[in-house]
Parts: sequence; structure tokens; C-alpha cells
Amino acid sequence: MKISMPSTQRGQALVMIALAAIGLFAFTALAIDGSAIFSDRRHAQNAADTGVLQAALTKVRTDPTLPSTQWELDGLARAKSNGYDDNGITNDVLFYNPPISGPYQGNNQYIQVKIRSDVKLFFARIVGWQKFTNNVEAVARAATPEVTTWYDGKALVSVMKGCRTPGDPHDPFVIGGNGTTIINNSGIFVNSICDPAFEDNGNSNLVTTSQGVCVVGGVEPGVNGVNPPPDDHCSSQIDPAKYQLLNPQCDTPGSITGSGGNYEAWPGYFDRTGNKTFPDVNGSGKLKLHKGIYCLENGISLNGQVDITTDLDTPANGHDADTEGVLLFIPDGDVIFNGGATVNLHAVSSLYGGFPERFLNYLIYIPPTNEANVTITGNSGSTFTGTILAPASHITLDGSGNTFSLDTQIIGYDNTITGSGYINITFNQANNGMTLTQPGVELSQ
Amino acid sequence: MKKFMSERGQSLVELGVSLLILMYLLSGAAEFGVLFFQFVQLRDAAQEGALYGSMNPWIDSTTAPYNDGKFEAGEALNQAGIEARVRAASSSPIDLNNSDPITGVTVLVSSSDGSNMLCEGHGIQVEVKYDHHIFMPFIPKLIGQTKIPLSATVVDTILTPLCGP
Repeated sequence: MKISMPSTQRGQALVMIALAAIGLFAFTALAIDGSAIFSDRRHAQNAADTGVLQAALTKVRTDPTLPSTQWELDGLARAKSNGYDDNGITNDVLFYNPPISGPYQGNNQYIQVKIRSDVKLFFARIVGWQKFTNNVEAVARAATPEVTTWYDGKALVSVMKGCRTPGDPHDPFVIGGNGTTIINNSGIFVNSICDPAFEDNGNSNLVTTSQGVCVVGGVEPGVNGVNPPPDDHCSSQIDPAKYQLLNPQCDTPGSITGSGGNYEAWPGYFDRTGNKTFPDVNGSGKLKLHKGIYCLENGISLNGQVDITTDLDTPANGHDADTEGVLLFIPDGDVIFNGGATVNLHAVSSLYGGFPERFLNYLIYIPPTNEANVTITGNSGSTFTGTILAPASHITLDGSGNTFSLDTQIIGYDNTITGSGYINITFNQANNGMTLTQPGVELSQ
Repeated sequence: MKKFMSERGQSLVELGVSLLILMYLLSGAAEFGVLFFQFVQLRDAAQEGALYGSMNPWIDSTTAPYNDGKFEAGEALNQAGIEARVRAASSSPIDLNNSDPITGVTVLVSSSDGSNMLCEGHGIQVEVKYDHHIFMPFIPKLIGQTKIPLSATVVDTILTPLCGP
């Protein structure tokens, strides 16, 4: 029987190969176009990240009181340098402050950028896909500086974050002796996570605070005489780096004139010539400090022979806000006020005469580069008004003698209260310095 | 007149003709795929270098008072550090460690705005270049060149250090 072929097989392989080729090209298209899409997505995300960081940096570095869209222009320029030029056709780059969506929506501290990018496809055009659209976004926090108190306005602060190292005699906060310390309108803050961070080495000392003692770490068992009792593990640590420090400049030399027990000093720097410590005056007497910033490059040591005051009037009539007051800036050397000297120091409290606002109400500033020993020994006639900022220094308050009064906030690396006398700290924020928080930029989303 | 009725060998001929065209097209696709893969690698490496450069853009002077952690005009670009980061980013399909001027990878680092300000808020640009050598036959004759230059450029915002006085 003859079998007849229903039709010719001519061209059959061609059809099969053509079909296989389509499949092959489809996979190639998927691989190459898919890669193009993901590559563009990653590049767009990088452009969004760096663009929003640029915008945030400009925002925190621009005077916040001035209306400005420079941050947006800078952000757009950074996106453009990465190929996303906001042309409205192949891509859009849009910045928002505050963000219009997401977890930071409405929060003015954040900046959001959204990038739309069209990716031209190579092979998928065969099946009608001309392009693919990538949408990416990024959010950055742009924390502008804010005016704030130091450490929530606590009168005595130990900045130390950890424990003392072996061989270092300084614990974060120690009360010793058998004196009495009263802190009005404020309290104590101990930043150390050490356990214990607050220790009592005294016999019958008394410490009374109106706002308590907050200790981030532990309190030594057996601490007594502290009223109210210290609160251990009271809060999270405060990062000292969140605050802006001072940066006084001393370009002109200071001077001291006078003799026979009456001396006057004018602001400026007092250098190391002769290895002197301020005030290098002969004999005994009184030294009046004229208004301004004193850079004491070899510290200050005041013995019982010289009284020192910022009250320029005779007889003394208290602080004149416009014309009196000092900031003692101590880049090197120690600070020693012994109990024999009568010290009446007031920080500058007025902008009169062009005094810089950022230094108002600071009495002593010892920068973090100077790990000084600061010893203030009580004298019933002494007064200190203004912030003592010494974040790397070891502070000792010695309450020898009669009541010793301060209207000050003392910020040291560590603090020791000792002696057998009375220390009376009345904290008044209006007489103490304020600071700014550090500007911050971080990629949030 | 003799008529050839046999279809013997027909498929072989069709396969041969089709394969020729198919292989040519596929070789182009493969070449393009490899080319694109290499470009993606270069851009990833450039991004890695730019990200590193945004945090480590300069070499702080060892001479006081310029060794203060702030950038001062004249301090050097961290070319070596950034380039090392780029070259360590990956090793395939291109060996990024190959710095031969003919067959290797070239890494260029610069201040993006030409100001040479390598500090906060300015841009650092990383460009990575490589010449792709075409490996498929016939293609060089078709396009008239044996290599295709690839270049990926990324600009990132410098986050640190602060600009000095």
C-alpha cells in the first residue's frame, strides 16, 4: 500500500528554528533588559542617596532663620552629576521638606527625594515594551542646631562615660569629707555607666538637691546623707558630642598694671613667658579684671595673697552687666583657687560693646584638649557666677570654711565634693551659658 | 526533464542557513550581554569608590597646624585609598586589579566641581574606564573597531571632613 504524504515537510526545520529563536531571544531580552532595569535602579538609588545627603548638608549649614531653597538646588545638582537631570521626560527628581510620605511624613527635620527614571529597553521592544520606569526615594535627617541648656540644666555634671582606668584616681562622682552641700533649683547628673558611678567616701557629709541626683550607672551601696537619694540607672547616657563647644580666639596680648597691692588686668592672652601662672603679680593685694576674654595659656593659680574680682567699682557695688564680667579661657594648665583668696568672678552677661553672644554667661572654659585639675576651695567671701565648662577636667569642690556660694553650672569630666565646710550652689539658668546642638546629617531611609 | 522529488537533506540545509543567521545574532547578543555586564561591574566599583571617598576624600597633613582633622586648601586627594577600594570591589568579569594601560582598568578620582575642595558638601567623582575587546568573530569587521571603550562615572557628596579656615 502506498502511503501518501499529507503535505511537504519543506521549511519545517526553519519554522522550528524560528520558534526556538524567539524563545532564545526572549530569554536574552529578559537577561539584558532585566539587568539594565536593575542597574539603573541601583544607580538611581545611589543618586537619590547622595543627592538627599547633599541637600541635608546644605540645609544644616545654612542660617536657619533665612528663607532659602539652596538645599534643593544643591540636591538637584548632585543628582544631575549622576545623570538624573530632572528633565521631565526620561527622569524626574523631586525634593520635599518635610517628606510627603513614609514614616517621616510631615517632619520638618527630614528631607525626601523621589526619582523617577525611564529605562529604554533593547530587546523587549520586540514584544512592545519600549521602556520601564524605576521609582526610588531616599530620606535624610537634617538636624539644624538648636539652642539648648547643657545637660538639662543640672548644676553639677560629670561627663565621663565609662569607668576610671587602672591607675587613674578619678571616679566619675565622689562625695567625701564631712561637709554640707546644698544645690538649689537644680540637681546632679552623672553620665557614667560605671557601677558604681556615684560613690560616698565621707563620714557624715550631707548633700541636698532640689531636683535630685541622676546617675546613669549604679550608686555605691551604703551611700547616705544624700537627699533625695541618688536615682541609679535614671536615664540614657548623654553624648557630649551633641553639644557645640566654644572656640574663643585670643589674638592680642593681655596686660596687668599696678603696684602696691592694687592691680588691674585687661583681656587678651597671657602666655608662658617665665613659666608663669596667672596672675603673676608680686606681693599681696587686689586684682581687678576688666571686661573681656582672658586666655590663660598656663592656667591660673590664686593663692591667699591676692584677691581677684570683676567688680571694677570702688567701693564694690555688684555686677554691672554692661561693663563688667570675664571669660577665663584656659587652653593649658590647671585652675586653682585656694581658700585664702577672696574671689568674686562674674561671667559677661551683656552684648554691650560687641561681646560675642556665644560666650555670654560662661565664666571658665577649659577645652577638651586640656585635662586640667580644677580645685575650687571655699571662702565665705567668694562668689562665682557663670558656667564653668571643663569637659575633660577633674573638678574638686572643697567646702572648707564658712558658706561658699556659687551661681554656676559646673561641667567636668569627673567631680569630687570634699571638705568640712558648706557649699551652696544656687543654679539660675539666666546666669549660665546656653549652647547649640550639633548639626547632624544622616541617611534615614 | 527530471524532477527532484526527494526532500532528503532539506532540514540540514535549512538548519545550516538558519544557524548561520542565528549564531550571528546570538553572538551579537552575547557580546552585548558581556559588554553590559562589564559596564555594570565598572559602575558598581565606581560607586564603591565614591562611597569610600565620601568619608575619606583627603590625606590630612602631618604638619601642624594643618593636621587638625579639617581640610585645608592644598591638602592631598586620597587617590591611592579610593583607587584601592575601587580595584578591590570585584574581580569578575573584569580583573579590576589589572592596571595595565592597554588591557587594564583606569581609575580617575577628582573633585567633581573642579574646586579641589575635598571637604563636607562638595562632590567627589570616581571614573572607572576599561576597553572591552570584542571577542566574537566578524563583529569587528562589521563595526570597524576591535574594542569598545567603557566608562562609568559616579559622583558622591563628601560627608567628612569639615572645611578648614
